[in-house]
Amino acid sequence: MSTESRYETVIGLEIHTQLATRSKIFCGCPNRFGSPPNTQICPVCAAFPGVLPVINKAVLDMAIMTGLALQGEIRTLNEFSRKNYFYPDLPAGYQISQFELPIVEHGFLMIEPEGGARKRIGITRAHMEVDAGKNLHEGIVGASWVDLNRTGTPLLEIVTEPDLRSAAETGAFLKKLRGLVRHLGVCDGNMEEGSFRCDANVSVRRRGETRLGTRAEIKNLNSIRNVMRAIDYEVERQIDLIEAGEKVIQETRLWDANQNHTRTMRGKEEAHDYRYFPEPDLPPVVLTVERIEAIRKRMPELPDEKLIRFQKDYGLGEYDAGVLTADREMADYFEAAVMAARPAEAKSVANWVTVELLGRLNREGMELGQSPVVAEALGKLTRMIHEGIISGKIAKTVFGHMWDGAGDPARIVEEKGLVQVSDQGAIEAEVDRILAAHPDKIAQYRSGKVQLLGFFVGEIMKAMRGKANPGVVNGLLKSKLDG
Amino acid sequence: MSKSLIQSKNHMSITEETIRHVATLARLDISPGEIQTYTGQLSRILGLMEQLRAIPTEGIAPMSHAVALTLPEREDVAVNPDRREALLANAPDSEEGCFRVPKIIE
Amino acid sequence: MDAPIPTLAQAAQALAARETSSVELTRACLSRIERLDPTLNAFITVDAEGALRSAEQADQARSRGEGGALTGIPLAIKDLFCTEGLRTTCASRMLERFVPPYESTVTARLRAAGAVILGKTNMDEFAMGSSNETSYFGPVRNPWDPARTPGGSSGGSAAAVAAGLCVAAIGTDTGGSIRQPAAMTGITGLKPTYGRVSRFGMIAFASSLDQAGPMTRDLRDAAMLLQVMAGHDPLDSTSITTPPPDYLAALERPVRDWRIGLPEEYFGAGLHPEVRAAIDGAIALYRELGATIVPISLPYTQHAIPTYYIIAPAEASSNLARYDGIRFGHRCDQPKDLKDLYARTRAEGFGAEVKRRIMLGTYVLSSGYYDAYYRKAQRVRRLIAEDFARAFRDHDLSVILTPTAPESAFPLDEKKEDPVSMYLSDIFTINVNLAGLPAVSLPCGFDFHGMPIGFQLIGRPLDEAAILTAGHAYQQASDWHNARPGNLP
Repeated sequence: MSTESRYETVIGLEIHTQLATRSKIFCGCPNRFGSPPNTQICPVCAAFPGVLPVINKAVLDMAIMTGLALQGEIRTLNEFSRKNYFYPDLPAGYQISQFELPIVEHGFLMIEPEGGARKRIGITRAHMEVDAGKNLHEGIVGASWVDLNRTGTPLLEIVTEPDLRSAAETGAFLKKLRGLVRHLGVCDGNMEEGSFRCDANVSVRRRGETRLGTRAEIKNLNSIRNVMRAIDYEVERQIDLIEAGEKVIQETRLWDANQNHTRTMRGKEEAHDYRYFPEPDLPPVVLTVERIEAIRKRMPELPDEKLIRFQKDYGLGEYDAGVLTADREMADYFEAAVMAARPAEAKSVANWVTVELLGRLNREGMELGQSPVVAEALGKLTRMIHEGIISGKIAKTVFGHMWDGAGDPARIVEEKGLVQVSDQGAIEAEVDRILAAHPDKIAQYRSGKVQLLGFFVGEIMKAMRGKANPGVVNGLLKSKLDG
Repeated sequence: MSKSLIQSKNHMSITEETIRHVATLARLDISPGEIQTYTGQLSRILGLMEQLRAIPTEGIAPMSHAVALTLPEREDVAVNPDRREALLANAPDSEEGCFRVPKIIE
Repeated sequence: MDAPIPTLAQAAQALAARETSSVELTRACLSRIERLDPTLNAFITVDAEGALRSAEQADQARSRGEGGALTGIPLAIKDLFCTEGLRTTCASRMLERFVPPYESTVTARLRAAGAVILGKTNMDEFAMGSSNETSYFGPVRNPWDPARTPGGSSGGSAAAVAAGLCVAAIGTDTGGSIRQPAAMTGITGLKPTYGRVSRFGMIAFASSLDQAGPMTRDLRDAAMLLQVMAGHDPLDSTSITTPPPDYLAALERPVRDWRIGLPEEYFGAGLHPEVRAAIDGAIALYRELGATIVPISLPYTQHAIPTYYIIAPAEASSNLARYDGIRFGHRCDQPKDLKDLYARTRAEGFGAEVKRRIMLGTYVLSSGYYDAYYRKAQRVRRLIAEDFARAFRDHDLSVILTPTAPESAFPLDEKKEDPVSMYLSDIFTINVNLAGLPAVSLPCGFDFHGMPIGFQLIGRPLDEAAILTAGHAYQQASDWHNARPGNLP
């Protein structure tokens, strides 16, 4: 048994999602990224003397919606508390957060780690709080600068149970959660810009041990890849410590992506005592069941629900359904295309989307949103195949024209004269002509070389410039050759 | 800290050590003389608080607000006057549109 | 000696009748300030220029036939209401040079009603104190005896009204800071129901207790100011939405057959006999007016002081964290690092009482003590509030009558070095803040030293009208509120 395999890794996450509201959580300043320093602030978010917070309704709505999507319980009575600590990017000297009574509790999210079984990851809680500003250090001699533009940005902090057991599971969880908040439209999920931030609590213990090991909290994780790398590093570090007979210290560590390691965070060595108490400037949040249900009703269908529905309603396989529900835009595209075709043709539409469309987008390095072929047009194209107007092969040609900007498939087919010939007489004449020209091949076919059927079909199609209805061609050929 | 420990603790005799810790939490630079003064004064003030222990309060909900209100909400509308100049005007030290502080080491 | 400064109602009438002008009235106040304030120290900042400019505008408005009850009335504002462009210090070195870029809702409403702001009055630093001696700008002196305190924390506003340096003033009350100085200076001071008046722009001491109110010569003036100050403010999440009633109309009701509660706990051993005698006189007058005096009990009264001195400092320790020397206010010289910046800035910027309360508040919220102190106090707070609710309900009371303070104005320095005895002087007022109720203090006599004595009327939540009615009925039948300090230079 290797050293690593004698240990079990235990990971819990704290994810800070910046809610995509128009204004900040407690004042009317814009919730916007990238403005010149201190131009998006007011006396309220900059915590001047005597100012008071007033909550943004959209923050509550988004927190409720996210809580419902995480299958959590929404506390109809929840409250804000103050978390007291001094730091230049925290102008009030306290962060308005939630402590004893958070808005969301007891949720979960199912993950499908690559090569692993589906697994339920518990969500302990999710609570609303304000984001801090930014302390700027780089290139400033002998000082730091404080930019408060970000101060007051609404955050929903999502805390998981220590249910994750590997970097891979953690990566799968974060991808799933990020997809979910994007799908709900509550957060843009941009880890590089910090609108979706993750701190990881990592500990190890010997297999079979039920108590948790001493954990390190890892910060400064600005991509899912870095989260996974940091966990791998940290697990190794902790196992090495224990193997060497040393102890893991409970501490906050910073991930350094350049050095590929975690290091102790200096400057915050003092023991914290946040002295939480209920925020006296904000009465308790009281939510009605009606409000929660109204939000549930207007909530977009969840990816997991959609996955099941796509399989059931459209008869798709799990793989195709998975690809099509990976994000909301894709699923919406597919469903719009099916609307333009017919439900019975959904499988064929799925094929066109996942093979032709995605293949082409990938080759061109484009996003779905940039596709020159709109969903309705792709649906119509599929419908034309099923109605026998064009063959699948012709459809690929038509698709090429659509991609180049020619638009409506019916018009393309008409303009380019690509309508499929289904007329029995016309096709029979051509079949007879081709058969007459190849008596040797007929003999070979009849003596058992049945794969020559494809040769005849190809010849006929060539002669009819691909417009012959392949079903009719097949039927006629078979009856003449076999009959 | 367990409940029984708190109850057995004699609040009347707050220590200088505690005063130093509290001053650190509160970010107050205090002189040795002040530590002594505060130790005595806070002990006496906390002595006043002792009488509350005898009051039975099981089942009584803590009262955080003087009046029972529920949280009013604001519509999500952004207003954007750039008030940087006015908001930096009171700053003891500022530079390039930022508040300037001693170098922060992380 | 110049003409006496009129009451607000008299001034409003004279202005409406064009018998005087706002400029004339404002000049009269400014000249009295110039003459008397070097002794009293009631003002931290006098804005003569701004006041005269507003007075001129008020006179113009009146001459166009515009304006309301407050148009042209010179007021003094406690120096913790943020006034845009006008220094707001909270009587602290920390904010000695702070000029807010925004206006408090209270002063904005007063300005919109045409009031003239003479300046900002002295107070206990960050409103923490009961004698006005914690001010960075020195103590305020009582106009009835400059060797004595005017009470606190709104001591400057109280002294300014009592000495006629303004027509009326605005104060704030966290544990008695309007009512106790009102009692000690012989004026009328009203603390509304918590949430009745917006706290926006009012520099916070203890957020769940702070409330602004009028400090005036009589109840009529209080009603007139309250009418303008009260009302919902979307900028304050604890602001009450119920629209305020017509307070002036409430003045004209008789108190015959009203039931007035007298809590036995307020008349115990701690009450000075001379105060007791004056209160007895007030009670007798109410009997004469046809009210029924009902003995009641508020058993949790004795726990108010410890409860308050846990909750208020706890909230204050957090509220005052924003004074860190970064965005505004005092900053220490040459901070060597961040920790040094915080610790020295705050040590230098705050006075002793403020630091004491920050320490106390930090302690009671700290890990291991929260449940024993803070949460316990919050539970007892509910018991105190329920005491009042039960008494009002069970005895069908309109108001409760108590002394405002256990003693009259005490000499400066007497309690300065003894925080505990200073805290005990709030014993009759802080219950009301803990319960969030409206209350008013009004004068009812003098002691042997010639110091004014006040009594307190406490109302049900949002029933400011009842205390206005009861107080006004008393002032219609008595003369104490018309007495003015006679020995002023």
